[in-house]
Amino acid sequence: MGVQLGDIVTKQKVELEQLRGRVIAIDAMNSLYQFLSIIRQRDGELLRDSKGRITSHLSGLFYRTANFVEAGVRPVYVFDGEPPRLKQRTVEQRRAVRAEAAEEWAKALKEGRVEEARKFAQRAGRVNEQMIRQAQTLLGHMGLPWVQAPGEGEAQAAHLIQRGDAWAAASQDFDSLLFGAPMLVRNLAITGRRKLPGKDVYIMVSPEVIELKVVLEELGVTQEQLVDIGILIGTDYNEGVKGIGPKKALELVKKQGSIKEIVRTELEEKFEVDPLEVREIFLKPNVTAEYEVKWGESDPEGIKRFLCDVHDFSESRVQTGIDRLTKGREKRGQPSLEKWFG
Amino acid sequence: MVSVRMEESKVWKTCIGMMVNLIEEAAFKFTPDGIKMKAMDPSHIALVDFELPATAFVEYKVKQPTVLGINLLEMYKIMSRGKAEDELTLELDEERNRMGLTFKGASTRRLSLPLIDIREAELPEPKLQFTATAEVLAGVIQDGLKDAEIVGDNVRFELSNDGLLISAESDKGTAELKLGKGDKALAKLNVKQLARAMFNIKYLSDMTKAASSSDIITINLGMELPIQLDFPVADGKGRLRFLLAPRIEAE
Repeated sequence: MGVQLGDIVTKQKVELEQLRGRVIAIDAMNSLYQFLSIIRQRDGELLRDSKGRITSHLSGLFYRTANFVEAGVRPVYVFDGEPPRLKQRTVEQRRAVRAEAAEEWAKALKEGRVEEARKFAQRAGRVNEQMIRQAQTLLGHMGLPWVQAPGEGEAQAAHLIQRGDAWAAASQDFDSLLFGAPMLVRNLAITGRRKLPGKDVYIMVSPEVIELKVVLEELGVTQEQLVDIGILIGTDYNEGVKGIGPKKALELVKKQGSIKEIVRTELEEKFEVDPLEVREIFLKPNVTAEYEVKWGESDPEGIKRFLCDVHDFSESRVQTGIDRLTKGREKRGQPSLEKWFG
Repeated sequence: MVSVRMEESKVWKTCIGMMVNLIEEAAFKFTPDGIKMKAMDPSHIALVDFELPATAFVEYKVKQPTVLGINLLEMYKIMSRGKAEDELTLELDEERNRMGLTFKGASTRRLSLPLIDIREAELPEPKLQFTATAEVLAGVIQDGLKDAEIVGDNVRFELSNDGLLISAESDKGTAELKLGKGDKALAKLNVKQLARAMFNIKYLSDMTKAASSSDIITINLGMELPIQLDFPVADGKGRLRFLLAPRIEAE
């Protein structure tokens, strides 16, 4: 889920074209979960190959990535490593939600409630180790780089930007901002004409850019205070304080200065984990400088072998994706003006 | 207070028309000396730098620096309603937080639009060592870009002692426009060192298409540097400058 900052940060809609030439560090797990959730058959069943193996994540990773690569975006996928200790409960909660959804899904299917079945199915998707390895194999064939984070992928993505190896982080969650990512792109993988869940309505989704500097300026807070706001609302590492939403949290942090002061007030007993420990996760993230970001040529034969021969993808559709990757390669060379700012 | 009046509304319309394709929202800074606006497009590939001094107006009343946030598309819609020869007054309606635009021609028409909350961007001055400059008729650039568009997405600009070369090449074919010394459309040429770079055509045509084909554009170019295009505004009293990052050959 991540921290719910949506209400208080300014988002700027951009066209995919405007991200041309940009290196974007993409939260791989966030993307794979998104694909498992939205790339489904009508009854909610996942896409599978003839041997029954799930392929929704591969379909999403290949076609959606080809989409923005065609527009000239240079993606680098960042995979999660070991989650911080405090995330354990979130992980377990998510697992429970998925298990329950899976049961409801089976029930809805049996009773013929198709729309509901789809809804439950979307919540039941689970990314496993094998899917991650498949995704990495596919990225290799596509000539796209990926980075293994020691800890949270979003933290590592922020680190890539701070080191000048990427321009923005891409994720649906706002946590990247708490990890200090100077620039966040949302909706990257779902750009285009999209169906609203549960309805036969289509909308146009375009990418949104959120600049950390602007967020801090507009809210009138420091990076530390933004993290404190996150902690009050709730993050993947703590529950947050009941009854405190983004606006109230902003008010509190500005009034008290920091979470250190806030824990001295009557709110102290409302934290069930030490907020200062959560703070450390964001402010002293577990990241590494040992990675390589390099774009290669895509390997059409490798892609076809993997997607068509092994996983029964349609060869003509895969070819279209390959063509898009090639087109994107030509488009990448557009640096931004910052390169010449003194 | 902010209230400025210019003789012909088309001056303002052209300026807004040239910005509107690149940036959605702009913070215009009205100072006692004139109006300034500087902004980058959302992808930070292009920069717009606009200056119109108080002397370009028949009446100019600005007491203290005031930043007015404008949605350019909305303003352009209003400007499109004015007749070219109409007199135009821009006024700040502080009470209702709006900008009023009054066209005075056959009748007096007043439209207004809400001001938007927008930060005045602090943009550093790019450090660019251009090696060549030329003054060229806008119509020629527009032609060169339209030719190149048929062939591909990118266009190469080159300034040498021979003159200006605008060219494009792809598997769809080639396009080439040459402007040599002696050609009337080349008003001035000063080349210290051969300058060449490639640019995205869409950006360049967004910058140039609203210009009058008889305007003289000043081009500044370097080897693989951004291109700088200066358009004269109000008979050269003001200027609209664009900076566009070059394309770098794919590695």
